[in-house]
Amino acid sequence: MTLFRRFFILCCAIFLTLFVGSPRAATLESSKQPQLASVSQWNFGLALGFGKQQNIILGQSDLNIYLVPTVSYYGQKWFFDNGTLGYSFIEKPKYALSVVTEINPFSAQYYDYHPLNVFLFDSSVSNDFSDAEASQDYSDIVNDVDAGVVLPSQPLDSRDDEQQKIETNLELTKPQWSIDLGLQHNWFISNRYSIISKIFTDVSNVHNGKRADINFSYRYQLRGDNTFLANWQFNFQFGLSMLSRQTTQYFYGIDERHIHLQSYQYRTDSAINKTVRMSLRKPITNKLNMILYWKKEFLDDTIAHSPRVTSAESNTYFMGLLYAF
Amino acid sequence: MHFSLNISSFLKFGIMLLLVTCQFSTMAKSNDELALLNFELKPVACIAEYIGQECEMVISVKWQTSSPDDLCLMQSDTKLKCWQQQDSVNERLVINLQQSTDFSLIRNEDKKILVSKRVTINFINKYRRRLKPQWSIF
Repeated sequence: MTLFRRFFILCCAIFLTLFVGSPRAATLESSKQPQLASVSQWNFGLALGFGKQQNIILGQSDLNIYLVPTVSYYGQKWFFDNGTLGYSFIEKPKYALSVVTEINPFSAQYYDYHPLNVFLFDSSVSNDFSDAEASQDYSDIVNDVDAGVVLPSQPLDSRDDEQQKIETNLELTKPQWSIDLGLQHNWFISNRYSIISKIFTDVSNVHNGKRADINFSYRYQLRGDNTFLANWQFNFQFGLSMLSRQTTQYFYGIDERHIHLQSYQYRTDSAINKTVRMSLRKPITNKLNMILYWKKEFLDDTIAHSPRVTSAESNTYFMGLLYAF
Repeated sequence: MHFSLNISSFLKFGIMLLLVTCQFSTMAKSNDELALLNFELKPVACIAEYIGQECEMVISVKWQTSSPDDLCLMQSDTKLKCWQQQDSVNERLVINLQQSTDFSLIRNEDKKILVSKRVTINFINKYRRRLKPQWSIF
């Protein structure tokens, strides 16, 4: 089925749900205010639709997204929100401070079956995960001049046989999963504006890297009597993600783990990635929401120039219907 | 002798004058010092469903002073309402709270606090604000 046909069918389904078959029941508070969670209650949701997550890693294919399960639980102090486990030791009207832990998100780009990818079901995932789960064979790719993949500091025409042999046998080890632990500060500036700051360190002793995120969020909800326009919730986010040199080197660098010849290695620096996210949400019934989502990430040059990375930008989009159980 | 009597009379007159002056001075000072005779602010508590929820409520403010003056009701450091040359007020005001807040009645001229009362906000923690941005799973 072509992309256009999928998109057309989805649009028809959304149109029919919106204008023909949707009961105009009063929306639940959770639908009206998705920024709130009922305390001591598991929240499950399932989004059905179509989307794509661009994969920037060489040799990894983009992820088609058809199903997006969501799960969260908020206790008085503890919380679990789609992969992040936290304990809020301070929560005030204007801010909250929490200890948080999560699986480092960067390794997910290297694996089809990663704990973080559990949240993104791709029905077209290939069964090529047979590489002893830990290494990525680039022997064909590094020799493909047309693909433009050239290891740094070494012109192709100057390679001797020994170097070619090294290249041919080059295997880029896939990063292992790692667990990050850190602090999170939520600043609730107003009902519309908020800033989330996070600082993490690798506590699983895999790469000993650090990362810090700051994310600004603006939320707006349309009001009015118009059935179609009312209750649209618009969310805009702008974020900066700062990565230490150890983090970028582990996930995007080429070093002694892969090849001993220094001229073939790629050394990264610390990096700052920029992210823009936009989402539109329209409550249709008390449990059903229409979702439109788009994200663009601009990678720092030190990452974008890595031979392991194929693009300086990454796009993700999803459109569909979200059902809250 | 006559001279001493005169001195005595003079002293008596002086003492009387001093007493009268003091009395006038005291009266004048009592006019300056505004006395708050009555102050009521109700209710003094609000219940919110989650930490951070803005509590909108109607409060009843009633006060009476010994003399008319310019007074203001403050919500923390913000002027909520001011009255000019009044000695009694009974009004209902809409307020918004996000945390427990002190309300003070002050004299506008010298910002002197006449009385202060705390309106508390209690959270029943039925909900919590999500601490992760929406759709951050991507």
